[in-house]
Amino acid sequence: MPAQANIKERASYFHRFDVLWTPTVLILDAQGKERTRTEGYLPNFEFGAYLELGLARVVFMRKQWSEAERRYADVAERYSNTSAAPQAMYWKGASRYKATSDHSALSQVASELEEKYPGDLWTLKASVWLEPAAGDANDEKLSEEMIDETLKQSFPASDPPSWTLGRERRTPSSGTENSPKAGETQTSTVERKNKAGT
Amino acid sequence: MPVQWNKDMDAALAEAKAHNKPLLLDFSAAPD
Repeated sequence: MPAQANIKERASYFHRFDVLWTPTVLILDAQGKERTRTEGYLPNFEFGAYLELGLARVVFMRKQWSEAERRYADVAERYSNTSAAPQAMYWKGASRYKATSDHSALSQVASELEEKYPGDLWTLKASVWLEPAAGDANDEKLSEEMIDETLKQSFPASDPPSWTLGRERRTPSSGTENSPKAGETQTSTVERKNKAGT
Repeated sequence: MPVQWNKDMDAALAEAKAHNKPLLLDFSAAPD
C-alpha cells in the first residue's frame, strides 16, 4: 500500500514523520508504527531488496518468526548480490533462533556470512556467534602453563624468595639451589585453580 | 504496472489499518 508526499505540496508530512532528507522511504506496520527507514537514492534492484527487507521486518516485529525467517531467506537468496543480502541473512538466523532457541542457528548463519560476505558490517555483528575454533579450547591451558613456567623462572639464584631462607640448600649440581622445589613451596596455577574449585 | 500512489497519507494510514497491511511512505522532492 504506497503513499507519497512531495516537499513542495505536503511539507507537513515531512515534519510529522521527522523526514529531513529526500528521498526517504518509510515502511510502517498496519498500526502506523515505523519499522524501517531508507534515506538516499538506491538503484532499482537494491531498492527492491530493501523494500522486501522492510516487509520482513514488519513480520519479525509481529513475532511471526517462521514467516520472518522465510522472508529473510528469500531476500538473501534472490538479492544475494545486493547490500541487503548480508542483513537478510543475519535476521534469517535471528528469526530461526527466536523460533527454536537453538544457538546453532546463530553460529551457522555467522559462518555463512563469514564465507559469503567477509568484512560486511552484518558479518561483523554476527561474528560473536561463531563457534570457537578447535585450537581455542586449549588456549586457557596453554596460558596457565606459560604462567607456571614464568613463575619457575622468576626467582634468580642471587635473590631467593623469602620463604626459602633458613632452609637447607642443595648442592649446585642439582641445579635447583635457590629455587623452590616444584610442588613444594610454589603452587602451580593449575593447582590453585583446582583448590579454588573444591 | 504503474504504482498507484496515494497522495493523502492520512487516508493511506486508515486504509492500511483497515486492511491490516503495511504501508510504504515515499518522501520526495522530485517533481511529478
